[in-house]
Amino acid sequence: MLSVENLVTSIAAKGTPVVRGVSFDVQPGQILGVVGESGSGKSMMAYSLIDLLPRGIAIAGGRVTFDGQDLTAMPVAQLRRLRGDRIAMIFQDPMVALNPVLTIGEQMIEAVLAHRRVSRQAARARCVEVLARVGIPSPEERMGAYPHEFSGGMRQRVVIAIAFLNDPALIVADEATTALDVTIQSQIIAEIQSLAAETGTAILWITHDLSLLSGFADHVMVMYAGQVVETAPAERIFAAPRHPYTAALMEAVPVPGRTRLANLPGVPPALDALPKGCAFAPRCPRVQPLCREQAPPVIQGARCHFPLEVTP
Amino acid sequence: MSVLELTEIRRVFSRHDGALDRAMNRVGLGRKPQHLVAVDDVSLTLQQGEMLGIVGESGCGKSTLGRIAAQLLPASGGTVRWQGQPIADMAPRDARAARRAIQMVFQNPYASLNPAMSVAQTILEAPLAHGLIRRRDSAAFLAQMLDKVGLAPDLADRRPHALSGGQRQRVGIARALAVSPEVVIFDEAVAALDVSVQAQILNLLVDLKAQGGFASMFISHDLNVVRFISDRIAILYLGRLVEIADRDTIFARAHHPYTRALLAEAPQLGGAKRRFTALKGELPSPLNPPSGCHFHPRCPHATDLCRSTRPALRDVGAGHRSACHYDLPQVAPQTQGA
Repeated sequence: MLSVENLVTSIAAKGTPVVRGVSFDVQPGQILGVVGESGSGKSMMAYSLIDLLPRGIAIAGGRVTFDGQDLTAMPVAQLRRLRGDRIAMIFQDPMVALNPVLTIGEQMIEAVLAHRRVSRQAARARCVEVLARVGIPSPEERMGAYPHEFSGGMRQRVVIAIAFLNDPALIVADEATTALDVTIQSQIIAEIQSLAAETGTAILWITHDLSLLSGFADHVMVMYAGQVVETAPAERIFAAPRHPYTAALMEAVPVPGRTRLANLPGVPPALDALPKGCAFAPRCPRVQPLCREQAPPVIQGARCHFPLEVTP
Repeated sequence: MSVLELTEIRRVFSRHDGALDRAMNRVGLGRKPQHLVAVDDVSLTLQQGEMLGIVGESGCGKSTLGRIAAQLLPASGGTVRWQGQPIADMAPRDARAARRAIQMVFQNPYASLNPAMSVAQTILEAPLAHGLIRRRDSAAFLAQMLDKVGLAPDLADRRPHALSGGQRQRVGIARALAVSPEVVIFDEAVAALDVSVQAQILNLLVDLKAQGGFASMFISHDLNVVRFISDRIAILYLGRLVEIADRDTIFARAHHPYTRALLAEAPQLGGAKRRFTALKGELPSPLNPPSGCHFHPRCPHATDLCRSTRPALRDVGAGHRSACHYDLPQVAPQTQGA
């Protein structure tokens, strides 16, 4: 349904790539988790898909196909019709997504009417239905409330309700639950899971939190320095990571019984000063001379000259 | 031996309660004052050399409690004792010494470092001001502190903007340790860091703890991190201490239903894929907390007693205290994915 081929996104003025040749597919109903540390390019990759890149950063190559149409070649007006309708977005900070001077009802009804030829009453009924679905108590009354009258968790739920409004085929969520408390996060994930299962909505879930993905993603993509370094079904990647970076990330997470965490020295490279060869080589515990010379090929989902063996 | 003892600490924040509002109220025009009880009768002791984890969700009062313990914020009620003496009753000289002995490391290492001061100035300022080191010894002292927190000596002249997040947090830790504190309070000290950097800092804390010398409170919303680092764990909910026990007891035999819910919801690496089934309801507003047990509207076991009466923090086993009226049966292993 969504297919990304060799996407390259660069800072236009300097030609510094922030996304370096990312390819993947998302199927209906699939939850694809994208994980990476700051600067890995995971957010820029997502913003490239939906033309929400900050000024000065632009797609420099590749194709993004959604329902058979190339989004990168699509006129702005047409893309705008797609966004909020077939493709919905959820960001980390709900206050950025909501208009503070309009009631929740006003902005939700507007979101329906922008994409659907229905009566105001019908639009309103749809909004109330969706608010109820994401667990907003007394949704009829809450339609008249302003964003500041909601708690942080409730606000994010409203944003998710808006994303659900037009039964999107794809939801792109960027750190959507990062700012929320763990009990609230669970509630939101539960909603996303049932949406994907019941309506076949595909989810692109971007996060820095590997642990969260291990409980709910179908497929996981690990990004480092603008590239996908490993991609695999969630079960496989969590059971047996092949890329040394994936393995190190997992060993850096405190889990019960661990008394020492992986000490991954240093920080990710600056994108305008990438090392020759593999971008992870300077920090890699398994580095070989070849890694510093040649960019690694992708072998069985891992972009590495010397991937870890998968023990059968 | 306890180094730091907090007894019935209470902290109330008020709004619409200034002189003007009070005067206006007298003529019937004022706004209704609102009081938020951020910390509600919390008693804790910190033992020599231990790391006490303080866990809770937003608005539970964990940071306020840390600031009160560090003498950065006065309590509205209760007593902070330093080596048995109430700090409030100490002579100014002794109170100053107590403040020096309790240091804090903050969440955002960028906001908590002075952007105009170099790493060397940041680390040396307090020990020089307190007369703990002589100026001519400062170079050697600086080298020793940098080494202790794993910073390269050539970073000494850098300012915070030229450091990475992990390096900044190391500077924050070095600054706290530079005055030889007996207690260090870490307030979400690794929350803003990337996973790999967080691991570096956690490893550093484990090493520093092994070297001994200070006791600490480790305030965090992240149960996995707290489990990794703490000897004992205290759980707060809406300003109240709901459970406290040593680490393994909390994870093996949590008593309070809120603790159990937190354990069940914390994402866990390698946990099986599961349907998330969350605790119902929102975190209530601390401005208008529920009656009785604050947790009752979200608790699957709540009764009329819970709605009307605040449960006391009671002993439920060796050193294990919980503020639940009931002894609920343990649900089969406290792991998720089941």
